[in-house]
Amino acid sequence: MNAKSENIDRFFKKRLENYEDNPGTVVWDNISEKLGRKKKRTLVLFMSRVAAGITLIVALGLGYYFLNKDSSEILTESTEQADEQVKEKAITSPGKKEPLLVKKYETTAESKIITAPEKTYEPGLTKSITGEQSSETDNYKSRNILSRIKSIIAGKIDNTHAEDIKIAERIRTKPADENLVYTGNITEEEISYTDSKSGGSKWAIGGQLAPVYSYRNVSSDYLDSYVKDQINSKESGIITYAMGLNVAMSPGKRLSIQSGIYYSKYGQQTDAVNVFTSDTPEAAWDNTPDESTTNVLIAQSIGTVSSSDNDLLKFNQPANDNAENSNELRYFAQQNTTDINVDATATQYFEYLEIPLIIKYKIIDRKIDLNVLSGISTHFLIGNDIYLDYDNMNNKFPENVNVNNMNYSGSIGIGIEYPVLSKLMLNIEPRFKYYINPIVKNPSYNIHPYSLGIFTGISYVF
Amino acid sequence: MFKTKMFGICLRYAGNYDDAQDILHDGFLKIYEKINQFKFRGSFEGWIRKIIVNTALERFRTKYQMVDINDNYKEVDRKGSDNITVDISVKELLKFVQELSPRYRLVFNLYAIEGYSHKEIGEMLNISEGTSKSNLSRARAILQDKINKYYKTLIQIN
Repeated sequence: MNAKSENIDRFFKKRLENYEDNPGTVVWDNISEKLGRKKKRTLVLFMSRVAAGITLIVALGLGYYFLNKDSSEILTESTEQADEQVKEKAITSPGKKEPLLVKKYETTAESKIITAPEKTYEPGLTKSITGEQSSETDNYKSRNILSRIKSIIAGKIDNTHAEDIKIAERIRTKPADENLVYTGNITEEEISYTDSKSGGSKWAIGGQLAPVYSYRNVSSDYLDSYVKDQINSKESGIITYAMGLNVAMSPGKRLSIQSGIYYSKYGQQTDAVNVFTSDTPEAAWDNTPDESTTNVLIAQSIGTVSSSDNDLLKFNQPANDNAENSNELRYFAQQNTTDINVDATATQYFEYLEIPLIIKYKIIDRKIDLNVLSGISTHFLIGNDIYLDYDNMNNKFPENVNVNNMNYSGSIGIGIEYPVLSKLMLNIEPRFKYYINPIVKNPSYNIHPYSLGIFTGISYVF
Repeated sequence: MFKTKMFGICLRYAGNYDDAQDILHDGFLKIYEKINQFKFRGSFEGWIRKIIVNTALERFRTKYQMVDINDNYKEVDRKGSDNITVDISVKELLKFVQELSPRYRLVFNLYAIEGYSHKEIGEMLNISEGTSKSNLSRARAILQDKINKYYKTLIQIN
């Protein structure tokens, strides 16, 4: 072999090795037609890209909309709410409103008598205290009542008004101890409940704990359903947990913004772990045979991990080769490889510290609140472990190095909040979380983990 | 996308554009069928490449009986341009390769471009190592000739 011959080889190799050409659409159409999956594939591709964006848009959109709504409509809404609130209160529990007044004025014995009103005055009385802005739109009757109440209060200082005296006379006829009964009825819960309806910035801190189901979505530019079928048949989701502390701020009556710090564990499981002896296929392909070793290989969509540590898997090596490898493939790469599947299960865990930014909106604002929530989280990888479960042994495997250290996820969910004590809320929030960027760097596939967690927790409102 | 890259390979192994399309078509169908054998180790592109090359080989195994013809071609130091660095289009080079007879084309591609040894090529094509060597030498000679002729015409035109 002379230099010139090698020269011509190199000459051609250099120019033709990476030669690319467009095969034209005919071939591709034929393939697609034969596979009958063209439409589905396009749809899946479309969906997977759109899905990532949706959570973000929903989060931002909701936030923007409700923040805007907040500033423009909250005022009128709260006025209406207050009206309704007052009426409802007055009808269902007339006695409960009085103590507010009682409490306010009970410092002087005189006012105690004056402000303990007859039942006919109650609606107007309460309204005037809790929703002063509503007085403008009120009917004549309530205005009339309002003016009377004003004069009652005024009468406290200047006790000369005839009408006041008249009212005071009427009130005096009622038994004095009735006031005491009403006073006993008042609870802090009532006050805080009333307060929360009247708006204003509020804060809450809390903690949550959740069982989480976690798995991943696989998408590829063009091998979707086959790739999915294959890896989905070997892999499955796992149940883990998440927990954390959060702090929430409500600038408006219905809106709140929540952040915090969470610990979460995600992962997946792979069945049928590969074991192969001799050269790695890559080595054979590159014509650089290595010395013969036994490798245990966990081939998973989120990054293949291998180890030559035989203690990980003490197995009786089956005599037969993997029948899956057809002769053609053996021409290349695998002729010296004995490739077997072992009935071992590998579980990959990822542990993250999460910083969420969640926007909550109250759609039902009663004693039991119903919220919708959406947001984004930043995930910092703090743990990355694979455990191999085989023949009653559970061994830790070398780290999966293919994983990104930082990820972003979008989440949506609903939440139910219930006050167990005056300022202590119990909440249950099913949340769905989807990773916006792929978890591993892989040119052929995109792996987006997702999780569904039922978060339960408590929060203290102040 | 692998599509254009793989079609480039097909063109090298095929004698013409139509054959290349057929190889690509068959190759990708095979990839879809065999995707469950891809175990996420090694390069996905390498794996696809293997199947494409293999499809090409298979095609010629059935199309032309791979008779072990050792033409005992010995490489002789021929006169010719040693500095083939002058500009020559890739399309032209591809055409030269395509114009080789199937057997020479396969051996040249596998050895010079894919980098297999004669022993491996012998196993793949079911021919002897000696035949592989001989075919390669013949292919090189033909290609060298073509390049020389190409330059001559270039010079004549100029």
